Amino acid sequence: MNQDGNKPHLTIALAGNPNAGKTTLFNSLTGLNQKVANYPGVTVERKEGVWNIGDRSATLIDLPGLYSLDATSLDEEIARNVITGQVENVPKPDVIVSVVDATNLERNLYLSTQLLEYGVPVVIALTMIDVFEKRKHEIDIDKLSETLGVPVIAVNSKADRGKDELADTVVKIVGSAPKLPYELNGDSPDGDNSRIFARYGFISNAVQESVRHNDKIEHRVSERIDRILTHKVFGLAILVLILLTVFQAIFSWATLPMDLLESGFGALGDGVRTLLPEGILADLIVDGIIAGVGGVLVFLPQILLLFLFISILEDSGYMARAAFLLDKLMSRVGLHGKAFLPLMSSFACAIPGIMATRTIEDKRDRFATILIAPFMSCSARLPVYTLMIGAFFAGQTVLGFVSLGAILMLAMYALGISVALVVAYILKRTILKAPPPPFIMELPPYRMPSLRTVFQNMLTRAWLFVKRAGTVILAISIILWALMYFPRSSQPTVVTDQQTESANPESSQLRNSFAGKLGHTIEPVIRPLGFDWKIGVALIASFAAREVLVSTLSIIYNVGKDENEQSETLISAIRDAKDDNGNRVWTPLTALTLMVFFVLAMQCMSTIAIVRRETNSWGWTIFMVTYMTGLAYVAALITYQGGKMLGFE
Amino acid sequence: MTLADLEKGETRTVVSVRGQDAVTRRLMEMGVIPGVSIRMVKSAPFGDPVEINVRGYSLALRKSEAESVELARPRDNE
Amino acid sequence: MFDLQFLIVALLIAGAATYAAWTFMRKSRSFSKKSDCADDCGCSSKSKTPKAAH
Repeated sequence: MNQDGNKPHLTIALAGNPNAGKTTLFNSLTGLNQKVANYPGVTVERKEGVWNIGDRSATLIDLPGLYSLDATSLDEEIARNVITGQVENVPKPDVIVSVVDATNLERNLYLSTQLLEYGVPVVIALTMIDVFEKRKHEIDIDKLSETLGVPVIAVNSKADRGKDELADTVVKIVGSAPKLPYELNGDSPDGDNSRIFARYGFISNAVQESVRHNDKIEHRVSERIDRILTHKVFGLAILVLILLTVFQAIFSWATLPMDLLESGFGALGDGVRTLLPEGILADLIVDGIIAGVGGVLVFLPQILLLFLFISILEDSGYMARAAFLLDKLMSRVGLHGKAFLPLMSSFACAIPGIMATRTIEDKRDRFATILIAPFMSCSARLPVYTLMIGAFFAGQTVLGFVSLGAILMLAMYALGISVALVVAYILKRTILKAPPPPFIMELPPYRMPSLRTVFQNMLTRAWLFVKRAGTVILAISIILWALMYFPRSSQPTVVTDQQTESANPESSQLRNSFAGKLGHTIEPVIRPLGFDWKIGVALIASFAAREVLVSTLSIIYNVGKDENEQSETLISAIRDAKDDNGNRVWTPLTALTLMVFFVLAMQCMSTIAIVRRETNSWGWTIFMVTYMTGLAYVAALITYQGGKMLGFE
Repeated sequence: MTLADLEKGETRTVVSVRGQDAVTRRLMEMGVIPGVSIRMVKSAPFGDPVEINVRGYSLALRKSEAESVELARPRDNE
Repeated sequence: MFDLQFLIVALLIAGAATYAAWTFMRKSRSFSKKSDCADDCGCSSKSKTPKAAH
């Protein structure tokens, strides 16, 4: 990499507090030229990009957001190892860019002082300076730089302000050794604390000399917003309202693109049918691959919307408020305050959620969180919920304007959360007994979410969803199709059923296939839940991954369909499905029962794998799968039988 | 009195932070050290946790943690 | 009955089965301490704090 001898490749680390604007600066410096990986052996994300500084390029390493370098947490340990050059394949940084939020100067500078102590040249990138100045504060940047003994550059990622200056400064200070402008005395009676006092003492001094607060009131805007959003009474109501709005939007906004995708896949299937000669290959492609993969891909618009809202809530600072509002509830059941974050990310997917439990120090608290994380309704359940709601509860409203679908959706999420809390309560009082753990969390000021961050997050998630559909779901679809297609009935065209064929669109093929036999075998077990053997097949398949239910149903109703039947949407196929006696297989109650089952059951190979890895124990893993699925069965049984008793269908 | 007893809207100076554990340490690293003034912003719906303003930013912590922060009596304040 | 269509279908099924088995093997290997991002849902971008329990 040493192209012209005297200008070696640089390694630069970007360090800063969470919410300091580090990600925005990183994106602005590197553009799209970045890659994300993990630090060896841990699940801490490692983000790297190429930063072109004049005529030379540098590797910019984005360290995890941190408050301190004292290695009490995994993130801090990693950051320290990077700075001291102890991480495999990561050269010791030549310069550290310390990102400092001007509106929160003292606490942000704390990390900067720690960075200085490592002897690596540091330059401070001062962000949020526009917000700071809007508050009528004045900062003497030269003075600040002088007292701190390091260069300070004001940057504004949106306006590209300070980018060049930052680059020039980095090049200038390479190889210099910063002088620590204060003394650290580890032998004082305060012990380690004396270091903290020394750093803050120095910072207070520097800030006092360089900043003039013309307006004493700080962060009052956020506090004023919080007067409503974290209000003692309205706060929780607003939280529910926000979630309800999100679900309603997911439903109504996604309808059009979903319909388009659905008819697109339908047309694709018809096209393939006309292009290919009739036969087994066309059957596989249309009934297996297009029905299975397409059936799942149809839900892409909803996945995009879900992550759009999650990113906005996270980026704006509202997530932290939600944690603040719900902490009492969490500590009541004995959960760690930090458990909120993993649980929240489990709404996207339990896997990153479970990995994020590494932030919880106590093993019992951590296991309790892992064991309940999969109860949070992840995005893979969304297709299942939507399919059921779309087929049986679409277009109905409550109070005239709230759609029943959104309420049912909220109810499913609420069911998952409630069961999780009850289970946590029981676990923390029995097998995982421990005192309630601490909770210290910054409530960042409200900010307009950055469009770029939101879209990047959305696209990453969408891509993972598509990738999954193109790999795992594709493979499972082909296998399932084969299980439904073979063995071939001896007389494939003649229906040999005893029942009247007209009321029974299912061919004997499906019934006599491998999958059909399997479905019939488990039918006695699922009959009390109101499920027939076809749902049984889909249910078994969905233990690989939840959204496979949709693919399987899609394949079942395609394979089992009469030759001359029109290609129809999955929703209408489900609505019209008849059992052997000509009765409807699906009723609204069946749909609800299935949704309840999906809220609680542990149906995800990947999650099982991660739980095994994170708990390092098959015992806990099996325990989790068993109790969750048992609970799901009981809850579904209660829903169905109770619903029938109450006269629902 | 401790931080847990601070009334909404009141501002006091920290005298000491008790304890030697990681929680105390984290609290101090977040800027809650002797000499700094703290304003109680509000408490969450069920009375816990509380939101304080320290060094110009908002920090949420549980009352059990707030109890380890000893505050000055009013006249000791600057 | 062993025509070209059947052959292609058989290959596709075999491929799918192999892929599924391979994925499962890879996942079971990730049962060991070696860890990387989960390929299904990505890795956590939000790990905020601390020392993993021992």
